Amino acid sequence: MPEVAVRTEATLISSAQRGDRGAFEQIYRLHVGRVYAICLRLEADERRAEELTQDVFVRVWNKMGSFRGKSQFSSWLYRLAVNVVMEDRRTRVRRSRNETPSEDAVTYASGHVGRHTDASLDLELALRTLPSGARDVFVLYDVEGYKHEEIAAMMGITTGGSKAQLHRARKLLREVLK
Amino acid sequence: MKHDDVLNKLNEYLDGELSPAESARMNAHLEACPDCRAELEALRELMRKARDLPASVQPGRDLWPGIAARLEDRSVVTGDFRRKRTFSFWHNRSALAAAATVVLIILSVLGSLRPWEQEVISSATEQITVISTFAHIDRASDRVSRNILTRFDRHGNVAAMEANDVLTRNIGIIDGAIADIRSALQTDPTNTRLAQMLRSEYQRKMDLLRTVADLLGDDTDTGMNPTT
Repeated sequence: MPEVAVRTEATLISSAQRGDRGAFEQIYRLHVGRVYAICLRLEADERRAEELTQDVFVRVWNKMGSFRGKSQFSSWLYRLAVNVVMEDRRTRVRRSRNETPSEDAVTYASGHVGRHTDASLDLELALRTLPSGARDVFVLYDVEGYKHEEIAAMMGITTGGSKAQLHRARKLLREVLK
Repeated sequence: MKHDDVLNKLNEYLDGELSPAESARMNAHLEACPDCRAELEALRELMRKARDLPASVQPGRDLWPGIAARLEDRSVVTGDFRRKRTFSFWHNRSALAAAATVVLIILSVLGSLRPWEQEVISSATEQITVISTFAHIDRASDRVSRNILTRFDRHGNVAAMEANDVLTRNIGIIDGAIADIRSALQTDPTNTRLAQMLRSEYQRKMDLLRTVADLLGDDTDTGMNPTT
C-alpha cells in the first residue's frame, strides 16, 4: 500500500474511533472488496456473503475503540471478518438450518468477478463444490495465509483436523479442476 | 521411501512440515520418480492458483446504506458513546450499543401486546420505581428480568423472551464493568476517578432500566437516582 494511503487510513481510523461515521464509510470503501471476498469464499453464497459483510462492518464499528494499532488494521479487520463468518456458522448449526448453498450462488460466476482470470474463476467455482469444513480450511490456509494453529482456533477444531481438511480440500479440488 | 508414502506426504512436504531427514528422503524419491514429481507439480499449481485469486471481489450492490442504517439505529441510544475512552473498559460502549438492541426488540414486542401482557409489564416496571440505591438496582434488575421471563414463558411469547434475554445479557455486560471497577478500587480505594466511573456505570445501568420502563409504558419517575 502506498505511503500516502497508509497515512490516510491511519487518519481515518483515528477519526472513526472518535465516532466519525464519514471516516468509517471511507474505511468501508477501502476494505469492502477484501471482506466480501473472504465472506463469499467461505460461504459460497452471494446473498449470505453480502449479509455477513454488513455484519462485519457493524461489528467493526462497535469494536473500533479496541483497535490499538498493535497489528495492521487490515489484519485485524480480516481476522474479525473470519470470526464473524465462523460465529454465524456455529449459530446456524445450532439452529439446524440447512447450509446448502443457494441456487443464487451460481450467479457469482457471471456477475461481479473483478479481475478474475479464467483459471482463478475455475478455482472460485470449484471451491463451491467443497464441503464447508474443507472449503474453510483451504480458503484460510492456501488463499488467506493463516497457519493451522490460527485456523484451528478460529474454527474450533484441532490442528490435526485443520491439516486433514486441507489435504482433503486439495485432493477434491484437483479432481474437480482436472 | 516407498512410493505411496511419498504421495501421502506431499502436502506436508509442500507445507514445510517434514523434518529435514524426511524431506531429504522425499527429495531422493522425487528425483527418481516422474509420477510423484507430476503429482507434486499439480499440487503446486493448485496452491499457486489459490494465491493468485483476486484479493478483492466487489459485491453486486452497495452494502453501505444497510450498514449505515444499522449504525443509525444503534445511535438512538448510544449517543456520543465515544466521548471518553481514557479508561479501557470496553463494556461501556458495548453495553450502550447493546441497549439499543434491547430498545428495538422491546418496541417490536409492544407492537403486538395484549391487555394481559400490559398488566405483566406494569407489574414489572413497578419494581423499578422503588429503586434508590445501587444494591437495589442490582436486585431489581434481577427481579424485573425474572418476572418478565417467567410470565411470558407461560404464554409462549417468544419475542418477549428474546427481549428479556438481550436485557439480561446487557445487564451482565454492565455488571462486568462494575465488577472490574470495584476490583480496581480495592487496590486503589482513594482513586476518585475510579469512584466516578463506578457511579457512571451504575448510572448507565439505571438508564437502561429506565429506558426499558419507559418503553413498557410507565411514565412515572422511577426514582433511580444514585445515592453515593
